[in-house]
Amino acid sequence: MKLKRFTVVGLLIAAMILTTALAGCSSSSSKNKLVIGETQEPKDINPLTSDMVAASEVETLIYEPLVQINDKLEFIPALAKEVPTTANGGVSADGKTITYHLRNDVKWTDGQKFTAKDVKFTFDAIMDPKTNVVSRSGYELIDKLDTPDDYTVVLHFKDVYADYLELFSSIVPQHLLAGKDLNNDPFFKNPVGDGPYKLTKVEEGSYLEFTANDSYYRGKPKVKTLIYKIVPDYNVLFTQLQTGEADAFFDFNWNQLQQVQGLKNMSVAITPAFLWEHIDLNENDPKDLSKPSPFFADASVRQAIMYAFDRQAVVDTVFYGKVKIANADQVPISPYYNDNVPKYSRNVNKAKELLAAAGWKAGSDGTLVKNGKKFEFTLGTTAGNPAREKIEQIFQQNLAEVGIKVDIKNSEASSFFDAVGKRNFEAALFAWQSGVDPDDLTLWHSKQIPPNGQNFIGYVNPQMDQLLEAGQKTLDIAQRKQIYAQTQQILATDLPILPVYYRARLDATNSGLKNFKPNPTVRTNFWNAYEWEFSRVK
Amino acid sequence: MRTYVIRRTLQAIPLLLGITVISFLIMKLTPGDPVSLMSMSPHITPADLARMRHNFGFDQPVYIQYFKWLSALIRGDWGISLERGRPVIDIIANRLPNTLQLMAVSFVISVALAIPIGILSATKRYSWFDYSATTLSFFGVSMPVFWFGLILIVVFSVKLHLLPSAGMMSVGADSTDIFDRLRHIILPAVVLSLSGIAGWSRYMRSSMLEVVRQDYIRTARAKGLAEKVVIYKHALKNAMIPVITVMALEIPGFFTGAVITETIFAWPGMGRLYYDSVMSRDYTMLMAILTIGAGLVVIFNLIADIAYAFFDPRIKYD
Amino acid sequence: MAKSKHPDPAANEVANGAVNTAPVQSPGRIIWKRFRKHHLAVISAVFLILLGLVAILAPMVAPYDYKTQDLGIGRQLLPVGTTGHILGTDELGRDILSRLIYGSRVSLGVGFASMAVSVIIGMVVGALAGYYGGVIDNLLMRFTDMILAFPALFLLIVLAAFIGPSPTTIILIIGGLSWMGVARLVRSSFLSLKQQEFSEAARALGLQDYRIIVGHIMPNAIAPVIVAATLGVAYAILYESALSYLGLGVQPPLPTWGNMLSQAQAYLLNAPMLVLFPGLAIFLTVLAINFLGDGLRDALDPRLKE
Repeated sequence: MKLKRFTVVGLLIAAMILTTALAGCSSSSSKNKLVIGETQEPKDINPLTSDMVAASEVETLIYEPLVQINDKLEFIPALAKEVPTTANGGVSADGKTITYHLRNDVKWTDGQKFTAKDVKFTFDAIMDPKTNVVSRSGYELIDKLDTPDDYTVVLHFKDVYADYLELFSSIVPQHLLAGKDLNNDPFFKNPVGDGPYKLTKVEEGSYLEFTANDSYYRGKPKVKTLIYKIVPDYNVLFTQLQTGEADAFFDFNWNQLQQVQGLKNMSVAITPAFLWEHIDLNENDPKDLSKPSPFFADASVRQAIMYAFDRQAVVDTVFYGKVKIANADQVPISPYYNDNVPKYSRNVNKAKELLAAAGWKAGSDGTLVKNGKKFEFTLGTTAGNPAREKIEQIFQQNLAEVGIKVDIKNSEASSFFDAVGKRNFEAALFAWQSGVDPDDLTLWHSKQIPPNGQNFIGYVNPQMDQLLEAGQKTLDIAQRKQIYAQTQQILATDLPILPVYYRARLDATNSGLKNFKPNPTVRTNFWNAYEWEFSRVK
Repeated sequence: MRTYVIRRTLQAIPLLLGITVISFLIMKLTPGDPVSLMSMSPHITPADLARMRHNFGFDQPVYIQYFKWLSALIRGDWGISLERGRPVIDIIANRLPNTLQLMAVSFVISVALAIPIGILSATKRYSWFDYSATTLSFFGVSMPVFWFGLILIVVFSVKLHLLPSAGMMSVGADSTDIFDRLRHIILPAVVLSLSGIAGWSRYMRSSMLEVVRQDYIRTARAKGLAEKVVIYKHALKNAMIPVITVMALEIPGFFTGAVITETIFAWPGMGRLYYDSVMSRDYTMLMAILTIGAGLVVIFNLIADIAYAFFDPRIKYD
Repeated sequence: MAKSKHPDPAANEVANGAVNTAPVQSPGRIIWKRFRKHHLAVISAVFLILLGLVAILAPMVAPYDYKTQDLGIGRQLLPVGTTGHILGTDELGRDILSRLIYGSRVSLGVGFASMAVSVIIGMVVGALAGYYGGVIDNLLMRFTDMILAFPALFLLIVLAAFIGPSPTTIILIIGGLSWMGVARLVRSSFLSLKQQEFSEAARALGLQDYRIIVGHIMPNAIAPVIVAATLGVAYAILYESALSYLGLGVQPPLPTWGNMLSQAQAYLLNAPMLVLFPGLAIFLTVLAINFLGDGLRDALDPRLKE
């Protein structure tokens, strides 16, 4: 009897489900294990080639830098004994020679000693054209790297490079990688490092297990095991916090903030980042880039749009008032940030006046018209990003009030950025990373319009060009601050892009995690993992 | 029959080649490549991007890229993942068993429930059983997977603490711990089997109703055979034919997995890999998944056709 | 009249050139009489008609425009029963009821249009392949195999990149990638039906191929297609919601039940109703469509004798 057999199978499965369901529920808690939930999978733990945040995060656990940035944005020594400065003789008078004295008590986890040879090897690896290093900026300025002895490294720069301390953020072992394929060697699946943790297990797509490196040079880390657990869905990862299957959720979404704050055993850290979101307005016509844009070539029109755009509403509704409205390209935590620039709060009348003065008159359907051309353009961003989608919709509604029609057309990240790179867009919402160093020449210099650089909007301003060139050649910090204060002033007046807000990162951790100090730079949260202490609060 | 099988097999080769050519072309003609995702920092210059594109060979004409890929494949080399820096075949070998487990369990659940529901709905048409079976089988499938999955997690993990909310195994669990695995597979398998239960029970009901009105069934009834014998001995075999056809078409999908179910339940299978590879434009990874996936579709279509010919002798192949 | 093996009474008359002696009933009335028996199908039909009316009349029925935001402090995520917003507001202070009503437009539109695309392609391909057989069959079926083997997800992203994820794109994608099942069903029905006596009789009468296909074989092959089509509408609505979840569905601010649901997920704890309503809308609609499909199948099945 076929039917009976099916029923039996069905019943068996049901029984199996029930028994296994009831059998489980044993949660072995050890306070020396910290489970960190992440939505992104670190795909490739290769510090030479990776550019993912998730990857560079876990690389911080395995590989040590020469010097590192702490949560207060100060450089502290790591593999180097001290941070080179002019005062301690680490930086030459002309600023072109940097000397690092390395610690002699650092060992790779295979027992070999770390030496200057590893630094030299890392440099050569980065400069090898066969290595798929994403960015070599800075390294390209190094003329020669000398290793007078095993614990001294001397960098000879061709030109002054103000950002030298951010170089060499990971050193790889020469004795294991010499002569290997640096893009794909199996070493990177099972790496040997000198950081606070060792990668001890990879369950691909599920989790990575890190075990404390007992011979870590700064002392044995206190949390024995770190689990980096991959749960791609944000809402499901939130339920993992609720059930205690995860002790931390790094980089969660803003629309989850209220829910996460509602969990009593969780602390939320809001960390300003070196990222700022903005709307690029193409100053040329994307259909024919030799022509100016009918809308955005005029600075007063860009200002009008800024007056119409209610960024305070964006900050309040999308980010619960926890981020700052952006003015220009330097973030408030940067030493180069200039707060004394023109600011735009919502002023619909002013927007209308400016538009009328620029020749835009209301047409029959209420949309502005000039020379027979309707003021209607397309705004795009990376599809599926809830915060950006909300910003777009607020922008759309705000501009409709002054007679400008915005069509939203988002696409998946790769094709979106491809279009932006080819200047095939009218308006685009995305973020720029900024560094501790303020140099953004590739974004604003008139010679950097694609294909030469990243001036996607086609911004041309000779005064800006001059300042940017001067900024790169100036050593004196006070003078540089003055130069970049001016560039910010120009950006905020001219508005080649519309700054929206300065991004901040959200991390939730179990309140039992001590010494968790999120870091605003790309190296993020693991920079001081060796100092963490954890005993789970239920 | 034999010549039919041989002919179909030979036809599969140009078909597969065609699929790889078209996939490759579409992939290359789509705006964006893996490198374009790396460009949003002022530190990454167009020269950097050009150097990377050169290293990956993206600066060569598309047809040369294709022939390089194909000739490597003929030598048995599927290439190295652009995203993950490891041989794609290793990664697939790592992920495929996870997906197969999930798919197989949910397939069994679907079949075990769909067929009896379909038969009973057909034989007891418009009865309370028919209505409630239909309602129940649609209950699950009428809800978007991502929503239903989350609701199940909230109920069974967060509220009742019965089942883990996501993942394939507990952190640190021994990979041979069958019990742990079973607890993790329940929710995703239930979610995944819903569409099969609803769809296939409908097909089964419909097909059964069709068959019981055929003359040979009437003849069987007229001969005075017991209703059960008529239904289960005579009708069922014939009613199964279209249902099997529909089911066979779903099996190759096992390989590419279920993107959303795998995403919700953090199941590290092929669906997630496929989606990630599309999003990051990991060309080598994608070409491998597409080619193997297409190969399976072709094979299973062939099997379905042969099975059809076997069950239904009225169809002649010449 | 001799008991004919022909399952279609209307065709019987043509084939026999005789008039049935039984009391004459129009085919429409026969179908209606049969359909009425399936009570849930009738209820579902009424529900869907009402829903369709709401969708068509959305601008008149909805209290607000689907785009109108209220960004005033405390005006977002208002609960059910708030004055002015019976079902509350979403995270941008928009009226949920209005968005549900407008959402029905897009969701039902995408559902039915995609189904129509897939059924039409599927029936044409399946009928041609099954009826003519031989080389045509082989070519068409290998083409079907190829589309089946095609990377749907990738194609979707490509199209979205070129023309943007608009409702039309999504209809074409869902329809264009889901006709293969229908094609195979129709083909297999045709393979057996064309060898039955009524088809041979029709051919012997010298009827043209298209008349045999459309007038005689197709009506007998339609039952499984109706099941597939109703399931198709349901799956298309769900498919759109899945695309929304991946961020590739209909883009904001245009609401669909699917994108409303996927956006609401993050507020499951603070505003559970936000998740409930679009979910319920999808569930009830899909259920109703399927009951309707069942009822239609039974009613249209020409072999069903009392």
